[in-house]
Order: sequence, then structure tokens, then C-alpha cells
Amino acid sequence: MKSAISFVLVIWTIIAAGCANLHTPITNQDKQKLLEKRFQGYWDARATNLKEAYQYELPYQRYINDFSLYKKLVVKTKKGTKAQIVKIEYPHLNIAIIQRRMIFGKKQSLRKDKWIYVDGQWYHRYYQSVLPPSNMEEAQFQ
Amino acid sequence: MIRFLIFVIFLSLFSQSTFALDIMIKPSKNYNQVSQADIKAMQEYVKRKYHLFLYKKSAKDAVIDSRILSNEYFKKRLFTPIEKKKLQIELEMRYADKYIDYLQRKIKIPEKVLKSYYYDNIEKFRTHPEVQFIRYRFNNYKDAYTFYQDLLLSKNPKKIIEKYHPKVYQEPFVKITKLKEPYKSFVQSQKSGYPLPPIVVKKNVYDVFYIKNYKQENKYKPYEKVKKEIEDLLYKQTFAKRREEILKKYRDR
Repeated sequence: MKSAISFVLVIWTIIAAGCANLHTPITNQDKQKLLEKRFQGYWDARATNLKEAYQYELPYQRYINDFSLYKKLVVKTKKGTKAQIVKIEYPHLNIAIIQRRMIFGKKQSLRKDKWIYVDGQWYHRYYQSVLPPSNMEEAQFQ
Repeated sequence: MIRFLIFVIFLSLFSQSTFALDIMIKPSKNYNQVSQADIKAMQEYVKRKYHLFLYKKSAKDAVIDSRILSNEYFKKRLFTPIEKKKLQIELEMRYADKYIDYLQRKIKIPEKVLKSYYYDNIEKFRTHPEVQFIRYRFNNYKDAYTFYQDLLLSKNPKKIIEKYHPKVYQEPFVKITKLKEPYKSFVQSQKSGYPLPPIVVKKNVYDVFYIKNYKQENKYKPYEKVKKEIEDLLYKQTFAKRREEILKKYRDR
């Protein structure tokens, strides 16, 4: 009998914990952690696997341009290139502008990244990087 | 013999149906007979082309008028075969586009796609500032101008208004983007409580506008309100791609 009660209690605790987890609102800290993780994942993929990087891109950009076109617009970064976050700004609750430092050997360059938070996930906004930038925005975010 | 005739009729029907669109245009004998559908079609045409609403009677008259004139055009044999071909091609192209649009709209764009567009282009959905005017009307320029100058210097517009007795019109709030020139260029950002120089409306009619309120709402239109707009935009952007995909399916059949 005792073991049955303890079993029910354990199950109840698990269910209650699960429900509590469902109702816990996502904090800004969680959002930022998620963003940092996505940022690293994306730039790692940009150097190794463009198909994987494509999955990080904004859903509407993927809706307009399929992967075959994406490959023509975006170039792989050199293997061994590291991306570091310098600063994150939030002009809107669901928009993050990251200032990133790209490091390759002794070479370093500063660029920006735009990330959009949609339905619990951060997505990267890509700019074409094959042709020279056509405007200021492209120059900063390429 | 009858069998042969049936065969010929069947063959002619079949040969016609091999065209995408077969147009037959001939002068109408009873152009006074206007159906309800004709009237509705005319109303829609005028609304789409001229942004005007036509009452039923006017729409009926417009149908008859255009029928009389176009009948004459056909009777005089001015409608050439090349013109018919052009019309056919235009119609085929229009309905081809309509078909793609119809197929596109059958597939719902996922919320995630729409939302991501919304946030990426959120500045496009910012609400515009609004202003509210009071319009003072004068019948001579001198009064209008001195009134304007007095208003510029005065801190109590009420006193000046009592002095001049102009006609006063309280205008509702209007978006700055909707204002026409020269009014638009005179409106100063974030400022209210000042007049605009007199404007000549017509002979002996002069208006002085006074900016009563300036409302700068630093807000964005909610996603639900612009969702349809985004959907249309994305349909347009992917139209050529979808067209190619759909055509490929038909070509491969």
C-alpha cells in the first residue's frame, strides 16, 4: 500500500513539475542564452555546412529563396574562422543586433548580425555576400 | 447521314476545346436588353478603374452606351483578326495569372514565415504622426495675412479669433503622410499651437490653418492587422517561382 502511495506521489510530482515548466515564461536571460547558442551554431555551420546554416535563416527568406538560390547568394566563411559576440542590442523585444568580431588567424574584422525571435526561436537574417554591398545596411551586415 | 452529322458536330466541338480560350465577338442585336449581371459587372469595372460608385440606373446607361458604340465598331469591320488575337492573348495571360494566384492562395503561408517578415520589416509598420487643424476662412487676403501674423506673435489665439470673426472649421485628426503640399511641408515635427501662412483657395476665399494638436504615436501596427498585407506581398514575391513549379508539373504530365 505504502509503495503504491509513494508511486502515485512520484508521478504527481513529475506531472506537476512538467506543468509548472510549461507555464514558466521565458526570461530575457533565457532568450539571450538561446541567442548566443544559435549565433555560435550558425557561424560554425557557415564555415562547414551551408545546408545546416540555411536552417538558421529567417523563415520568410527561406520561403522566398530555396537552398539552391541561397547557395548562390551566400558564401561559406573560411574554415577556422571564429565568430565572437562583441555587443548585443535589442531595438525591439524580438529583434537583436549583434556586433560580431570575425577572427581568422591574425586577421580580424567587425560586422553586424540581425537576429529575429519568432515563436520561441532566434533566426538569422542573411544578406547576399557574393557581390559587393549595394547599400550601407548590406555593408554592415554582410 | 445522321450519324455522320453527329460525328461532324462532335469533331467541331472537340477541335474548339483544344484552344485555351476561344473568343467569339459579334455585334449585339438587342443592346437595350441589359441583365443584372451586366449592371454588376459595369459597377465593378468603374469602381476598379475609376474608384467611383455607379448607381444601377447609371450603370445600365453606361452598358447601353458602350454597347451602341462598340456595335458600330464591329459593324464597320474595324475589329481586325490581329486585334482579336491580341485580345485572346491578353485574356489567356490574365487567366493564367489568376490560376496561379488561385493555386497560391490555396496553400496557406505558415505563421512563422509571416511573423518573421513582420519583425524584420517592422519599421514599415510604424504608425505615422497625426495632426489636427483648425481652419479659419477669410474673404480677403489682407485680413487673412494680418490674422496669421497676429497668431504667430500671440500667446492667446482666442482673443485674436474674437477680433477677426473668421469662419471656423474644426478638422479631424489626419495622418501627416496623407497631407498634400503645401500643407505637408509647413507642418513642424512634434510641434503644435502655431498657424500656417494663408492659402488661396479660390477668388475671395483664403484659409489660415492652425495646428491645434500633433500626435506622435511611437507604435507599430499589430501583427494581426497587417498579416493579410504581408501574405499578399509574399504571394507576389514568390509568384514567378510558383508559376514555374506549377508549369513544370503540367509539362511533365
